[in-house]
Amino acid sequence: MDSDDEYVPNTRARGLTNAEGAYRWEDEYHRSWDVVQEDSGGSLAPAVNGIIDTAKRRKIKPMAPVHRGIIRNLVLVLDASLAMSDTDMRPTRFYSMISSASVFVTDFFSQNPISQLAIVVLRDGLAVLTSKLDGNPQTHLDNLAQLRKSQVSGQASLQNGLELANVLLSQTPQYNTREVLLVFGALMSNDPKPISQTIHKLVENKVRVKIIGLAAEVAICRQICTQTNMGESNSYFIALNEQHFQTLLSDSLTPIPVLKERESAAKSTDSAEPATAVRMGFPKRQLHSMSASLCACHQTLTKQGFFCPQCKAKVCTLPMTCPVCALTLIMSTHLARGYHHLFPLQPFNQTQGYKNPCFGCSVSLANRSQFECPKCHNIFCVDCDVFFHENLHNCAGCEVQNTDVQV
Amino acid sequence: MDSVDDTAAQLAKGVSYDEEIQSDSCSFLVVIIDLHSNGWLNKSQISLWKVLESLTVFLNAHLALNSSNELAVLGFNGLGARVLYSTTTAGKNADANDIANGIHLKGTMIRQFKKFDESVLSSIKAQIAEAKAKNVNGSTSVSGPLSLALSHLNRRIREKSSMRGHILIVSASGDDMGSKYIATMNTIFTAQKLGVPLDVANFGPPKSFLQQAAEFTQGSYLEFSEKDAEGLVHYFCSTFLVEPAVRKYVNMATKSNVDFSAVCFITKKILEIGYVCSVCLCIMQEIPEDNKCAVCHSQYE
Ligand SMILES: [Zn+2]
Ligand SMILES: [Zn+2]
Ligand SMILES: [Zn+2]
Ligand SMILES: [Zn+2]
Ligand SMILES: [Zn+2]
Repeated sequence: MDSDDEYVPNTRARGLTNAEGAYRWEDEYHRSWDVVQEDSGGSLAPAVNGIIDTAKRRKIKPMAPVHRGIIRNLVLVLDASLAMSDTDMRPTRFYSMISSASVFVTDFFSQNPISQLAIVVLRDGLAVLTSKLDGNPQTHLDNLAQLRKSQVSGQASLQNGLELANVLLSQTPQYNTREVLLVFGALMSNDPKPISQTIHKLVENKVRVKIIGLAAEVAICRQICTQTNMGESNSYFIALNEQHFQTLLSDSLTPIPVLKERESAAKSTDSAEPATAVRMGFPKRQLHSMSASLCACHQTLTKQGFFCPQCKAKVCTLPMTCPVCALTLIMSTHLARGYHHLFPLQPFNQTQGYKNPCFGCSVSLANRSQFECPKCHNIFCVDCDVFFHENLHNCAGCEVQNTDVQV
Repeated sequence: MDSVDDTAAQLAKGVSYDEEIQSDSCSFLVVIIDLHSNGWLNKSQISLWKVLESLTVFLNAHLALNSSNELAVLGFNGLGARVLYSTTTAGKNADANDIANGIHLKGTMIRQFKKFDESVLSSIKAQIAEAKAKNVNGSTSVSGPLSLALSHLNRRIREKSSMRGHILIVSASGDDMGSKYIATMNTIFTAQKLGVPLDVANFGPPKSFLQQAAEFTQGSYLEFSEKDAEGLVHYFCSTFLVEPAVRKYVNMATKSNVDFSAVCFITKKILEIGYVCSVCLCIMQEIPEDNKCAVCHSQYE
């Protein structure tokens, strides 16, 4: 470390400061009832609807078509130290975290079908590999269910957790992303050596760390996040409550943009690391064959399965790495799940004054916020707007109108 | 016959069965009818009017099963997709509309049926006539009506927790929806996420995308040829009328050998082993000679 002042605790934490960077308690007092304005007819309905709609839309973020690392390797590091027995999240931080993590694992694989995940647990000053780097969501869910039965104990060690994650990720191919998502409930870390060495290793290995704190901001966490993300300070968060925690987790479902520096390096030298063509197998499915046979993944007798096109081994589910010849086995439809990240839907613009019902779901738009698609100029309600951007990734208006009419 | 034994065992247990199927659950069916003018011209297939006859019987049965069941009918052709009928909008000012439209009930006829038959058939005719008048021969992707259907379902499922969604695609026209691959896949994944089965009644040539759609969402894919013409009502009612929640206990009629094979983006050949670009996820049979992705032009190592 070049200077000491990097270790000065950054108490101007995100949750405690306003837009100008001043403390919340230095702020002028906002009266929330002043925000609600009556309309000309004296009704509060439009104002209340507006507030509800704003809350619904909060999750939609402008998505520029940036280069994202689609094949991801993520190590989920979960704190299981004594600090996690705190009951500010119900029933305890630990159980709440595991429930949210299970949802995260399921969603992670549905949105990132050809990615891999590992789970590391921090307790008693040690880092324990709970679920090894694997592309099968069910094994992770089973391991999380096992973890739920265990107890929290001892202290957490950031360093041991990050070291283990680094070892796991350094085995993965260069063209994949290497990410760590750390849930940290404690306010201190029990580290055997200076953690700066670990940070250097992470930076060298191009591992990117995102930390979600459950208690309060810890200076070293911010430092880890900033340094492993090329100085960008948008990967350290403090969860305010359970719902906020789940939102922070689900933010990690979208593939992260490839860092600018790396991308520009790739462009200028023209032969740098990012792009690779990965060899993959698209197995044929066998349904209800007459005789059962052993599968290569669980060694159990099954009647149906998929056959590896390279070595003819039978596996139960896709996607999977062939247990015999290590070929990545997927369905073409799994790849299709990743395409919407490449072609994101443009955000809609808020408008008003339209009398017609919502183009998508035919609900009346009177006294409701209205949103216009910049491409097809149809007007939608807030629910359709959120639905299109969060789930569907299509605009119903564009799809319906965009015809290749041959007149 | 394993599955039959399983069914009996599961029904005997009865636990999960009762949990899943609440007495107050109702379903919202969205029917998407392919009205491309060239889709129904082939002599060897069942005529559109014959299909509609059976379809109306089936839809009436759906409405009769549960008084809170809902229905929307969407048509799509070269001009795009549109809602032809919807119980949510039709129900509001029913009586006034009936009188205005000159709908009179005969004998014991149920109002909803009568109204439905008249309004659906007339709007289908209108949409076909419009396409004919404008001389539109092009085709639209099924992603359009599917997106629209999902918007409606999303709203109703949100508003009423006991509401279950369900989509039936009546398909005919010659070409598959290859041109809008990503948009169509997006709708399939969303349907899967919402727990909405996509049923397909295909009266035209085989469609691999629709097969995958049905497979992914636990729907049924049925192909009909001319010889099935007389039994259509039976097919519709015995397969598509089964409530989504009950489906896992019933041996559904379906075509199960779905082809999930991957197609090379460049040569369009079917592949078993291929290369996938790590940037744009395109599938290639071989790495191009210049070591650059043919789709996104990334340079490979
Ligand atoms: Zn297996
Ligand atoms: Zn193999
Ligand atoms: Zn809407
Ligand atoms: Zn649009
Ligand atoms: Zn590419």
